Amino acid sequence: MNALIGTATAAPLVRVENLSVGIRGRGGAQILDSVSFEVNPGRITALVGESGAGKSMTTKAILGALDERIFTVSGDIEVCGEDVEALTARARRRYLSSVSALVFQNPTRALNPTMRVGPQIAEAMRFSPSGPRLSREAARERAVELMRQVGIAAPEERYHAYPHQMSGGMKQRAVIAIALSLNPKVLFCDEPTSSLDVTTQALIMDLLDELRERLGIGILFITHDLVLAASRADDVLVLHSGRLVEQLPARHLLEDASMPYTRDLIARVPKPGQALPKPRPLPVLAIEPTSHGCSYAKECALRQDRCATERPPIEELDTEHKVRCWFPIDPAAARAGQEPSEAAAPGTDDIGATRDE
Amino acid sequence: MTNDTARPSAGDPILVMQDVVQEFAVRRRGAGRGAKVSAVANVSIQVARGEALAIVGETGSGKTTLARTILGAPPPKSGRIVVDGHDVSGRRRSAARERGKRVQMIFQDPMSALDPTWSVERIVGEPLTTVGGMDRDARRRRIAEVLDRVGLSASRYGNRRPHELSGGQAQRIAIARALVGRPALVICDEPVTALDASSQAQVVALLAELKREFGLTYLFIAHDLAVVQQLADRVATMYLGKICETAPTEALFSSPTHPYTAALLSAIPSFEPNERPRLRLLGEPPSPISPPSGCRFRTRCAFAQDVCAEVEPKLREVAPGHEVACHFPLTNGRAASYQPAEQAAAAESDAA
Amino acid sequence: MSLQDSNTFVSADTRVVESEASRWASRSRGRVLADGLRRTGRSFRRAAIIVPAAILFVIALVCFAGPAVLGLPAPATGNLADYLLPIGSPGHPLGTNALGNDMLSQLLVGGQVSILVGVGATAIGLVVGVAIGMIAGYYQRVVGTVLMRVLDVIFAFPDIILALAIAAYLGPSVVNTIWAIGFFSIAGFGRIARAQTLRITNFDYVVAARASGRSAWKILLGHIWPNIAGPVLAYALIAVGYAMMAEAALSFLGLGVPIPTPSWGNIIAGSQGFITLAPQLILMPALAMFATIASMNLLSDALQARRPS
Repeated sequence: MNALIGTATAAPLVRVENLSVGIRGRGGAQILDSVSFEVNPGRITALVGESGAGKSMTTKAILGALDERIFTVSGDIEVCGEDVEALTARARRRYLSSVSALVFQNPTRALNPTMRVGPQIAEAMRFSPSGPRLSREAARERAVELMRQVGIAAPEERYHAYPHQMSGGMKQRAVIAIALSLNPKVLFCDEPTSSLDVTTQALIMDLLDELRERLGIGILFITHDLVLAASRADDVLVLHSGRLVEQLPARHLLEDASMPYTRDLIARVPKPGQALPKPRPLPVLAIEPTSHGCSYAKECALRQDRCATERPPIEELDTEHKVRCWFPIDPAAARAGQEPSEAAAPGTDDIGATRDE
Repeated sequence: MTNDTARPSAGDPILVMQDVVQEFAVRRRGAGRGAKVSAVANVSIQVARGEALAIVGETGSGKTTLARTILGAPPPKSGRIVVDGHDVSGRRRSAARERGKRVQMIFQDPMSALDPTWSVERIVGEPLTTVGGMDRDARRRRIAEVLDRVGLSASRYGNRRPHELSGGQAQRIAIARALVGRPALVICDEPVTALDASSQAQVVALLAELKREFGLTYLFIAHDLAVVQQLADRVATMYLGKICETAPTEALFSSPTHPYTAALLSAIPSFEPNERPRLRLLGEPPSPISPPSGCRFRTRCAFAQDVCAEVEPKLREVAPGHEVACHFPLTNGRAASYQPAEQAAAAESDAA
Repeated sequence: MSLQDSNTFVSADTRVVESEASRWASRSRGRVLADGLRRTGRSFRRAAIIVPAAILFVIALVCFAGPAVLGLPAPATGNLADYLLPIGSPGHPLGTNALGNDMLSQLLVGGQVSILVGVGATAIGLVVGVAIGMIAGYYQRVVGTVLMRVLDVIFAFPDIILALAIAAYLGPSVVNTIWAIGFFSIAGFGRIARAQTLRITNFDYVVAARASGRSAWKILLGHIWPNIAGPVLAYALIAVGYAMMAEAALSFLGLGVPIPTPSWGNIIAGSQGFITLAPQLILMPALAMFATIASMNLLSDALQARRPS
């Protein structure tokens, strides 16, 4: 079940296999259900899903940030060759901070408002137990260098700026500079551009793109924006109700998506001059066991009897493309114009139905 | 110094803004005494009856300030704002009352827009009690009616408090309050930004349906261009307090002529990234305390010339209903008059 | 939930919705009021609120109804021969003081006076201070600045010294004590009301109401007061305790409630000479004050933790 993605030559930076997260005392309620994927050096792997699909839960599980009194975690998680599940909580934090870093959605909350930006970048390099413990001057120099690298103009001056004196894009750059300060091999980016303007979003994505190319960093990019993932990532993983339902190279997403859910997501992207997409209630966080049947069966326009009763395995369509569906759409047929997505999913045409009268 | 080119659009104008200026005094180190943030600078726009005009721009472009200025919070420093034939730009309470009858606003964060100590019924009825002249029963009937229109039953929701509502429901209440007094103009300031994805789609659909049904006139502030595409008839882009370009939605999205509009549109992710060249904004946004001379966009424009620093471009028509404030408007992604060699190369290399 | 809403939105059967809505629109005023009361009542049903509130209620009840119900002698009509009787003496369950006055009667009547001074002084501070603070917060330019500078002047004096000066000028009496303490508590209420008002005026619902020409009067009473009432009343409870202590201090110095009218403060003051001989004379009013003030502070905390109703 662990076919390599693409033509990755080096060992994967993050390897997650059969990761399941459940809630204790809820009769096996699953938030994540056997999720397996890899993040490879120099590649952006996008984890796409709607709210409640389990995107953030995946990173939290990798980082060991889930409260064990509430959640059960099973499966193998390797980061840079080390089985982090085997480490103690303390050792795990220390190890992860030496090889990986986090970038969050809201840069304003990630920065300390009472501290100048430069020292915040330098701080980890001076004091972190897993850091190089640089002297004050060395850390300062390196911080200025990092600010330059992430595209902050006039870094010597900006070193002394407070977060509130910077624009949102600049703050996010500063957060990325902090993330880079300990030379991570992997970046976990949780909706890093969702609070920014589109123009700034594009520039931050350019920066991430450049970092993975220049430094060979692997990026796990979590987003709800399928189009952003398709246009900026290398690999796209689609999550639905805690299950990985499709995995394919981003450049093939539009044409080759085989899972009806992915197709529906694509169809729902607004296009100029097109009627409003139909609003659809989101699936609630899966608190009930859904182990029998496909998680998308209720909404799928192409469902058959088997979908409701038997859980589809994840299957390889080719070396780069995996899908969890009993009846995957043949990309060639889809290209011929038989898109299923226009057919309304049952029970979801509440507003849309009256609109078209 | 004025943009006198604002022409009446088709239909009678509901909103006419003429040379509206909004400034705020700032006290900040290094800014000097009497420093001002020029948030809205000589903006002249019109919105016709039944039209939805969207104003788009980045954070700090002054679009929200523009909306609040129309609402009189606070009224403009200078210029005229006429809604449905009545001047509403004054500071006096009489002007505010005129405004209250004709302009209502839907705010970004419904939780801040609804008084937590008030019941839904009282919240929705507030514009009616402000204007007065309606007895209690008529008022209650109107409230029930408008609640029903936004999809919430009065008997179930009328007695609730805002904290008993979900984000989407609260925004519907805010919409109901905006519509209950049958205003001539509804200002929507990022009406779906604070909502989750499914509520967003539903609220957008509701706004579209209400507009169609009642012929509402919207002034729509948004940074989500996907929402704009769905709701707006006409779009105006705004940069640092100035209108850059206004055009019918489709024309603007298919052939942007202002470099800023082009940069904004090219930054939207799309499934076919090579469909159009990326136009990057150069450098960082300038301070609104000392905006650049001439064209305010020139410091970030790939096509800027010397003249851009000296002469402020005025809005002029490049196609029917399509106005742009630029010395070198683009046609098919190219600057109109001539292409300066090095900047063109820079623009090329920025293409994704 | 949201799916159902959208179903009513497309309104499957418009007539049903309409009749329901008109029934709702025509329900009686009493029903509306009852609904509101039930809602408010529900939010107070918590142990952290009920326990201190009950203690305060009992203290007030005993102080005000006790003397009459128990048929106690008047507090200052003791027999000198019965001086300094211990607790549990026949006819004097809590003993007597140095003048032979019944301590139970002294405590209860003294409680009446202390509570009266605490509540009265706080009421003056609340009404005047909140009015000033709300107006200062609402009109932030000239009016607000001027009002706040006035409060600053009051605030600049150490409050007990201010009260001393006023009390000394007015002369010792219950009413004058209330005025003296009330005056110095204006500034505290003014500040808290202004800060809260500033917070509330930034909310969009106030912005919208102001912009659409709703009168300042309606906005201040309709929007701002209900939203600042929680923190202000929580502060008021603490202020009552503070006023009672100030009364005790003034009385201790002879500038507050004059003997023979007892108050918890002047009972302590009058008994200081017997602190080794009869410490209960000081301990009993001190305990009563402690119970009252502690309950008020607990209630204040619990009310602040309460969700907005």
